[in-house]
Amino acid sequence: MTEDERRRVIQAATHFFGPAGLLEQDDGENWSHSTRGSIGRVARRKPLNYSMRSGLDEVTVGPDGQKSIETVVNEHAQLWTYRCWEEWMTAESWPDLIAHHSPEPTDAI
Amino acid sequence: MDMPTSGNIGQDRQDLADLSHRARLQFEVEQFLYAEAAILDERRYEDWLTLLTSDIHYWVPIRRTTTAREVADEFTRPGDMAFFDDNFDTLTTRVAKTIRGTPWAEDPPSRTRHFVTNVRITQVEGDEIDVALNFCLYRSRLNSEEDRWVGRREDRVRRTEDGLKLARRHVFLDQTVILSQNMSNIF
Repeated sequence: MTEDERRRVIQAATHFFGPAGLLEQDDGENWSHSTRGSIGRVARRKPLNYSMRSGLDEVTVGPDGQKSIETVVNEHAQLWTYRCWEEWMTAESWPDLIAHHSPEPTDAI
Repeated sequence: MDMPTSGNIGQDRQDLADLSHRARLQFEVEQFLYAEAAILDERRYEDWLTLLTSDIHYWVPIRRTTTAREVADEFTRPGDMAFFDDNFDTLTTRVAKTIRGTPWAEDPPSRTRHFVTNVRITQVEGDEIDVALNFCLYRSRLNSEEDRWVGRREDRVRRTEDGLKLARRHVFLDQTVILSQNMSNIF
């Protein structure tokens, strides 16, 4: 990336994102309100739905071995994070975790 | 400002003339900044744009909490990430977005109060006057949200055919983590 390109990327990121960003300044409120909403009686009775794009995508491997998922807005990362977290929290020991944690996803996801 | 005390009448007269000149400039700059603050508080954003020079740099670097040893690095540098790094065009875009009434962050609109104080003229060069000042921006939003930002500003005011204009605003916040939901207002 040239210095000029780098400068433009930073400028665009500054202009659109962050608390003052032209796009993101409207989001801070949504996040805090949706978090606050999950405290409610009804919301607490229901499991959170993290199934967006679940079962509809495919993991591909690039020529350099880098895995990626070509898709739109999805919750693959959230699902993977919570699954890993559960495995870490419930494993009996390090060897148990290493032996039994989920394999990295391949193909359909 | 030092009062003339030399005992020499000619010298005293010169000192008084200097003092009068400095006081007039101080008054003029302060009145400009107060009027500009009022325009923002009155949400006259299009009028505010007319107070800017076309080459304005409006910049709010990100401040980080650092150890005493690294305190020279607490602000991001020009060209790095910043909260605002705007020129006249990007400021115009912000204003256009705000007055359109569609962004959630500003509808219902914030109620702001700009306070400007400790105004010091730090340099005068040609048509340009550099001003250092402290500010407090108070904001009330929706029914019960309150935010305040306190900090230091380095403004550059330029004398033009159309009166004083703002040619630079560099804002140095005292907060590191921004405690508000967003920063949808102009400092």
